[in-house]
Amino acid sequence: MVRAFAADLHVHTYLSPCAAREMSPQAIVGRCLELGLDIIAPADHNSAANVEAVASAAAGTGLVVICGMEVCTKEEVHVLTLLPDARAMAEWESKVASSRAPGTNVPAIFGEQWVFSPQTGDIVQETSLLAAPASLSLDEVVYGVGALGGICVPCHVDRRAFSILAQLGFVPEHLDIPALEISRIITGDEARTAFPGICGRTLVSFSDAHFLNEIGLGCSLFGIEEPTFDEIALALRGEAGRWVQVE
Amino acid sequence: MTVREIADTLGFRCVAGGRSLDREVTSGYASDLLSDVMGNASEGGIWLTSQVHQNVVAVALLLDLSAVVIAGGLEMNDDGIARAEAEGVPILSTEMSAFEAVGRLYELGVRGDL
Repeated sequence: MVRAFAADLHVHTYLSPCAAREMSPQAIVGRCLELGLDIIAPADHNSAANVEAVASAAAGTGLVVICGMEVCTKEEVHVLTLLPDARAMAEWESKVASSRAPGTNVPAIFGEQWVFSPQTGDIVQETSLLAAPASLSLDEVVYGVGALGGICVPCHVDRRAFSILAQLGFVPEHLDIPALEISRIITGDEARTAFPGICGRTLVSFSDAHFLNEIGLGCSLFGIEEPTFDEIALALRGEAGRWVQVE
Repeated sequence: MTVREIADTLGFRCVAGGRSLDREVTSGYASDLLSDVMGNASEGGIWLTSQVHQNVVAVALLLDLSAVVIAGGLEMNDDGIARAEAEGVPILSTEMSAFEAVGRLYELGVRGDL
């Protein structure tokens, strides 16, 4: 039976240089539980190094964690990449890691990048340059994620910065892009009025949280049978009676 | 030529980082892709772009650019303005199109790296 699950599939941890130091896996999970969210996805810039830590923090709480990463493509388009499981996530992580910009992070300029190890409890700095775009094109990201059974959702398409509409002008028809994310400051109707080119596409809204109090501010309801990646994928595609709506 | 002389001559409005206007401009670069700028612009350069988010300021800091010019009458967002003001990165704004603004800078003697 299809029922509604509240999902925020775009949450940054303290691994993202632009996110607050308070965004530890434990604190994020705690906030999600307070809010009564059913499903979240950590989505750090060009890295999935904290996905396992968030999943580990959520173990036994009932909060479902989907594997995610926000990739910045060569065209400087932000794309939410959702992977079906930890193995696929690890493969995608490896692909993105080898495509990251050369050089090391400068915390004073871009911000600190922290990784939590659930095995040791250590918190260490990630030194690669996560703030810079990967050398992967949008096509390579969509095909690469698709080959691993994952799904791509271009992020905050209504914004001027790092959005597919701002950078490319339109959503390429040849790519498997089942849904678009709008930012939390705009409604679906407002987005369709402002960007007529996206009419007919499924829209979702997530928080893109960089601070704890932003989690859940953008949220979508998924009409699915159970809170799993496969069901979420069906909802994003509008298949098998599954649905998604901007909350 | 300093950032201030360029701004005064071409009528570019300083919207942030005014305390660093006496910096010398040693070259020019025009691009809207941050990765391109990070790979190719030079220290002391003036960067012309239509991107208006705060990562523009981070890139200008990383490369130690002399100024950023936002062309086409676009406005730098509030986060970017605050960061540029805090760090002393001059942000200049002009109604001119990017093409026109680059041409005027070139007329003043600003050159790209060859």
